[in-house]
Amino acid sequence: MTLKLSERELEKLLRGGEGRDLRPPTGLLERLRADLPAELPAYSPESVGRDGEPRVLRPAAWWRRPLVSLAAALALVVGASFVAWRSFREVAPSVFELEVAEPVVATAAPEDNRLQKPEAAPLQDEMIRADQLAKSDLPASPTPKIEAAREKTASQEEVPRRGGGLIEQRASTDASNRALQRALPPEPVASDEVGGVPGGVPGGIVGGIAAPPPVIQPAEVPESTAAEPAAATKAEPMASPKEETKVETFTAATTAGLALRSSAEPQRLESPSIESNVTESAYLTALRESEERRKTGHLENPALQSDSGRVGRERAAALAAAPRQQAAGAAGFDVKASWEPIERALVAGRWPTAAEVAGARPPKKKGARTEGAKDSFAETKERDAEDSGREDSATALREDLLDFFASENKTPRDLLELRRRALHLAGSEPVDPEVAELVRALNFAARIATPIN
Amino acid sequence: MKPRDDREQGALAAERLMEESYHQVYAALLRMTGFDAELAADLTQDTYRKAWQSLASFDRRSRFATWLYRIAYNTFLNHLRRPKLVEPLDENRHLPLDPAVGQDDDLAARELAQKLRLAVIALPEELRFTVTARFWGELEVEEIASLEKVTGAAIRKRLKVAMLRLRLQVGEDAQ
Repeated sequence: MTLKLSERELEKLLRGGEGRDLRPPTGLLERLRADLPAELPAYSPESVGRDGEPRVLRPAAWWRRPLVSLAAALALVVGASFVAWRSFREVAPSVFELEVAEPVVATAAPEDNRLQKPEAAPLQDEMIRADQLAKSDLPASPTPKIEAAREKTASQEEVPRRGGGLIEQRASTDASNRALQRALPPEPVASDEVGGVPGGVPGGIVGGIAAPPPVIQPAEVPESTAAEPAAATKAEPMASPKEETKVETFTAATTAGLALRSSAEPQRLESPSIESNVTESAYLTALRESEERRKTGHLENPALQSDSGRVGRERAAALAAAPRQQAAGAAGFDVKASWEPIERALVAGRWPTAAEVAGARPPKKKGARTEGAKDSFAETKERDAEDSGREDSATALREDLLDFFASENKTPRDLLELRRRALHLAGSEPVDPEVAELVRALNFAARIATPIN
Repeated sequence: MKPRDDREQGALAAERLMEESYHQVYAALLRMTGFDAELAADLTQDTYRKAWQSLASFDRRSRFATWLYRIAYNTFLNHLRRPKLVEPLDENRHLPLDPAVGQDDDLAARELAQKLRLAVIALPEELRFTVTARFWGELEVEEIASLEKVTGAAIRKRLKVAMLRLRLQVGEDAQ
């Protein structure tokens, strides 16, 4: 097969040959003009491209313009980020707080219920922290005091919160004072309100500190609470999470270590790091009793049930500090020998007998105190109030505590006052083992004071 | 002088665009139709109608004339696919006579040109558009490449393949 046409000839043929008239016919332009639509996209005839042809300046859609597109994308990103941030704060505020929060050790809060080593009371601190946040009268940022506490206890542990997450533990004396003030409602309450706080425990520490409660006897429980605990709770339900937090915090601040309910806590005691001067059998006995109460459905304020781990931690911290009692004894006060019966009685769930109280008194004070043994504790305390600075002494606190034990008119208010003083003394770091011992005794006393059916 | 409004300004610009481009569009359609002036004028009119309707889709990635040629080419293909109500009596009646050659030679040339046109139309779409755009639309290779969204080398290769095919086909017919 041969190719008769060269490529050039073929191109010439394709172009239609030379000399052909390719001009449009006359009248075509008029026909085209007549077809021009009335509406055309805006463009400028003055805009001429580099090739010299009029360039259609169809305005690009606004979203195609670079600056507009960039600004819109930026606004979208910023808006989405803001919305996500707000949503995150609303959905998980506690988690958000954790980003700025750092657990702090219980250090210097006088009325705080941190009676033990730093690692022993995270849950109480969490409750106090929740109360502080709920009150919103504290700065959100850590105070210098807290910062110092953080530096001081960098190795403390972080405990998961019941609802998830961690908390910032604050050591704020003012906040604790406020919490205690709130915990002391001044007015008497109606008879159907248990202990002055609806839903509280009659005559008990939990929810019952404010009103003049009935005299506490170890085996005495007001019938109203025994009969209708649920009704009392129902009388004034938690109106809001804030109130719930308040009550819970109040409970934690006033009854730290009241209940021994956790079966896991004894494992802490078994830790080799804990050197116990208190018989473990006594503790286990108390634990067993608590378990029995729980099985029979006779529980204290339900809010306490979740605090079971705190007791063990308090106990463990106190036991860890127990060897230091020997040093205190060497200073002239045979703490261990005289105090052990007291503690044993408290652990057993009964008030110390008069003989045990008498045996625990220091010799030099013994005579003075026995005179007022039959007086009410308030009278005794009033009598001793003239001694300035006396509250700051662990020895004075011990004497007052013994007076309380010896008194026949034991009121939760007195017990709370003793606890407040104990907490004040325990506010320093490290915790004085003697004070820790008193606090431990107060905890068990509070447990006894808590009405248990 | 009062400034013109956008509508008046746009109409003037469109008219100017049309005046500068309709020669090329008409010439391309004239070649496509085998020098049928009347049909080419009609198709030119259809081409501009479609162009004004779809002016908003002109993305300025090519010249306006190039974009317009694509519309003209599609208009011509639509015309070919349209069923014919009246078939022309003489296929070569529109071919102009070349005064430089004799009548027999002119007839042979017209037949050859017609065969060549039909051979171009019978090419595959890629080759057909490339050949017609290059030789009937008189577009540059790069312009065709931009329309086809390929490289200039690809267009040159297409042209080479198409020319070889046409030479073979026309040469066979010539034998």
